[in-house]
This record gives sequence, structure tokens and C-alpha cells, in this order.
Amino acid sequence: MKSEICILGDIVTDITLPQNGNEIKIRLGGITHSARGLWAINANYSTFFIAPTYLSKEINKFYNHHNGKGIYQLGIVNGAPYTFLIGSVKETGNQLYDFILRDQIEIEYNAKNLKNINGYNEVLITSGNFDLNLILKEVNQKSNVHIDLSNNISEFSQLNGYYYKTIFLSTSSNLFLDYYKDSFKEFCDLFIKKCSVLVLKENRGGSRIYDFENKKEYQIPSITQPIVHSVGVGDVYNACYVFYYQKFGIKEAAFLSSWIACEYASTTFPDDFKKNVSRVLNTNIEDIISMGGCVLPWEKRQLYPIYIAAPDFDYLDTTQIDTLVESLQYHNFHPRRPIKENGQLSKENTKEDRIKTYTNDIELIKKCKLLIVVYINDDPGTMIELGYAKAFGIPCLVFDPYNKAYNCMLTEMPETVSSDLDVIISEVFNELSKLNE
Amino acid sequence: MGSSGSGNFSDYSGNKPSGGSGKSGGASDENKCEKAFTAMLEEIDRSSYYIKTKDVPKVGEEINISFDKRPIAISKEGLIIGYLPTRFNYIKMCLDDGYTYVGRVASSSSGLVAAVSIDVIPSH
Repeated sequence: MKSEICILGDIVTDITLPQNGNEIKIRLGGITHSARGLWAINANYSTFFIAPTYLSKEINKFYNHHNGKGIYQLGIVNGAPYTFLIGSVKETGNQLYDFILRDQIEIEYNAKNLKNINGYNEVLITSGNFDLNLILKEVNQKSNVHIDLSNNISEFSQLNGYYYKTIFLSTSSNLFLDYYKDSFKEFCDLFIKKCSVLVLKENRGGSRIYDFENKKEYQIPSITQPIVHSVGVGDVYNACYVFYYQKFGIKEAAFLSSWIACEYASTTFPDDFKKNVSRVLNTNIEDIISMGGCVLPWEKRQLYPIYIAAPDFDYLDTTQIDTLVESLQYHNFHPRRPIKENGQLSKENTKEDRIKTYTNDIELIKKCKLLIVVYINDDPGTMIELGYAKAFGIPCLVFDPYNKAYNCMLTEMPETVSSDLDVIISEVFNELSKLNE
Repeated sequence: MGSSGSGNFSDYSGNKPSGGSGKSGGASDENKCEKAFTAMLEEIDRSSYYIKTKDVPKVGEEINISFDKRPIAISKEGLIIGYLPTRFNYIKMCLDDGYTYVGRVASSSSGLVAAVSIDVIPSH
């Protein structure tokens, strides 16, 4: 008898390049992330995959070892190693993926294995480099087909002609970035008659779900814990949701999936992951829901400007400031750089110039909902801005990339001090989500 | 020049940690439920301890970790001192798994704003 759920898509090699003092890490990627999620929740599942031949033996070994019941190669990839290089593992900003030789990919399909897709209650497809229509032709109409659009479907026309049970996409997908106009409802309307349920995954800001059949919207928080990576976390969310939505309902399935995805992000050790997931599964789901988490929808992030207090002068190395600002912008936050906006003064400037710049900077602080110090040196302006914002009731964070902060005003006044950009970005989500409550 | 570090896939369930750094293999031998932690409590002035005593607990006072919609720190008398920040929500799963947590007030002040930090250790 076939397992109730099958996952379908590319299997690649994920290579996390050395960063932040960590060594290179090589794992099977693509739908293998979903597989790890299903393995951790003790689900039986089958796998239909597209991969190069050199990986086939390893894939069979891995999936047999991780609860895979049926393993079918739908296509052989030629022309490329099917390898992702991952430059930024925690997605503090852009993940800097490089899919090596992607334009040279050619796929030879296995007609016999394509026929085996029939007979599953739930089919979870992660879009990839394969011919989606060829696959869909083989799926029984009684199956519930769920798809993650990933970065491979960038036009709505590619979704024509098929009605999906669930469409998953994230705020880093091309379709979202090209078509989202700051209204979830308007965005949902673009998916009418294309799916029964739309799931928008908003990174650390949670997820929003729209159920077209019952005209119901759900807001699901993200779970905030320190993470060690963000690769494949959304795939784990998808797999758990698909496994649980019939059993528990949309809201409960999504809360559980959010927790399990968080556990996936907190380790790359599979047995640690499984142990932590077993604890989640043993906890009452009402308690999981009552704890909540972080909710900060994409478009709301623009409403909370962030004052960047730092020596952002053109004669200093501002790499750390630039990195922070780029990360904030990647997550659709609205960082404000006073020196860039209100001008940089020199000794030659008049008193009038100084008063004007001072006034503009103070007014800008008052407009902002959060202040982040980038502690590069003992710039007096930065320190005064921190104190002023704090006294004004604005939450403050200190990004201390060189681990130099020891003065008690600097370490005790802000809500958080960290040399880790990931911690700072997480705290930005946490602090600003409080304003969104 | 030779190659190094990436001779095979690194994350099989059941595999022993390999490589000098111990960063590959099936399990890390770390258990987050068994880690001590320090936390700044939240919502102190809206919690029962502060409401009842109009004060924060003194440094050194014993606390326990419990649950009331979120993980909380409670005094010996059972009053809620404050809530743990949401990044400690996993403690709920640990409590359900049989771990208990005890600790002491590490710092407290009722000056500008009511603030309490706690040091906590687990016991199974």
C-alpha cells in the first residue's frame, strides 16, 4: 500500500560555504528538507525526485535511512552538478545562493516512474527545473496537490489550468516581490481559482493563510529562537502542514508547522532536530497556540522607521553599517541613515548649519520606532542619540560587530547588545512586532 | 594542494560526530532543555508579585519556572514575577518533558522601570 503523502521535486546538494567561523557543511537539499521534516514527525512518505545520476545511490541510501517508503527517480539531470552554494546561511539578508551551471540543466524523464505518482492522498510539489505540466498530467484528480512556487514560478500564467489544494510561497520569491502591492487581500485575489488555500510565509514575521473556500484568513506567528541556518526551513513548514492540515485543521497545522520549522532552523543535527520535534508533538496544541510568537506582516514593517545611530561618515569604513542596512531592507524594514539624509558636517560648517542638522536628526529620532547603534568607534553623536532615544521611550539595540562594548551605559541601556547580526535582526522583528500587537 | 573537510554528506541520523570540530554527524550531544540560562523578565509591573507587593523581589530570592499561557517565573509564594521572553518559549516543551527549573533573582530594580533578571538551572 502506498503511503498517504508523497513529496516531489529536485534533490540537490547544498553546500554551506565557510562563514562566521563555521566549517563547510554539505547536505542533501531540495525536497530533502521536507523529507527531514516528515521523518522527524514519524510520517510515512514516498519521494519522487529529479537529480543527477551521481547522487542516485546516495539519495536511496539517505531516504531509506530516513523513513522513505517509496523512492522513485522521475528524471536524470545532465549538464550541471545540481549544487547550491549558500553564502549567507542565516538569511540575515539575501541568502546569496548560487545554483551552479543552472542554465545548462537538461533533464531526461523516466516515463515508467512518472506513472507511479498516482494513488496518493496528498502530493507536495516543490517547483524546480522540471516540466511541471508533464508531472501534473500524471497526478490522479482525486489527489490533493500542494505546491511551493519557490523561485521557479515567476508568472501567474504558469499556474493556469490547474487547481491546487494549497499554494505556498515566501516573501523572498520572485512572484511575491514582483506582484505584492502592500495588500494581502489584493494579492490573494490574484490566486482566485488557482488554489483552495494560499500560504504566504513571511520569514521571521510569521505566515498568513487565506482559505478561499471558507473565506477565512489566519495569522500564524513565527517562533523566535536563535537559529543556526535558514536553509530549507520553509520546506519543512510545507511538509508538516500538508501532513497535519486534514487531521488538525488549517490553524493548528500551521502553528505546529511553524514550531517544527523553527526547530529545523535551530540545528543541522538530525537527531537533535527529531528529539526537539518529539517534545513539540508532546505539548498540548492549545498551549502552543497560547504562547504565540512574532507577527510582523511584510507591509507593516515599512510603518516603523529605524534610526541607524553610527559614525556613518564618508571618511570611515562603513561596511558594518551597510551590511546592517542591507539586511533590514531585505526584510522590508525602513532604516533611516541620518548622516546620509541630513548631511555630513565638517569643521567649516556654520553654526546655522549645525543647528539645522542637529534639529533634523533629533526630529528623525522622534519619528523612528526603534534605534540601532552600530558600535564601530566612540563617536559622541552615536552615544548621545542612544541616550536621547532611550529617554524618549524608543527601544534601542546595539550591534557591536567587534565585541568592544563594555561601558555600562552602552551595555545596560539598550534592550539587546550583540555582535551577531542574526540576533539583531531577530530582535528587530521582536521589538517591532510588539508595536503591531 | 589537497582538498579538505567535505569528503561526504555530513548529517545522517545515528552517525557519530565526525571531524575535529564535532560539527557533523547525527547528534550534537547538546540538549537545550539541560542548559542553564539568564533572562530579563517581561511584564513585571503587570504581574501578580508586583501588583501585590508593589515591589520587585530582592537579589538572591528563589524562583521557579512555570507556565501560564507563556513560561513564567514565580516566587516561593506562587506569585508571578514576570514572563520569560518569547525566545524561551521552548521551555514549555521541556517542562512537559519532565524538566523542572529553579533559579534566583540575579538583579532587580524598581527605579525607572521595574526590572528583574534571573539565573536559572534545570533539573530533570
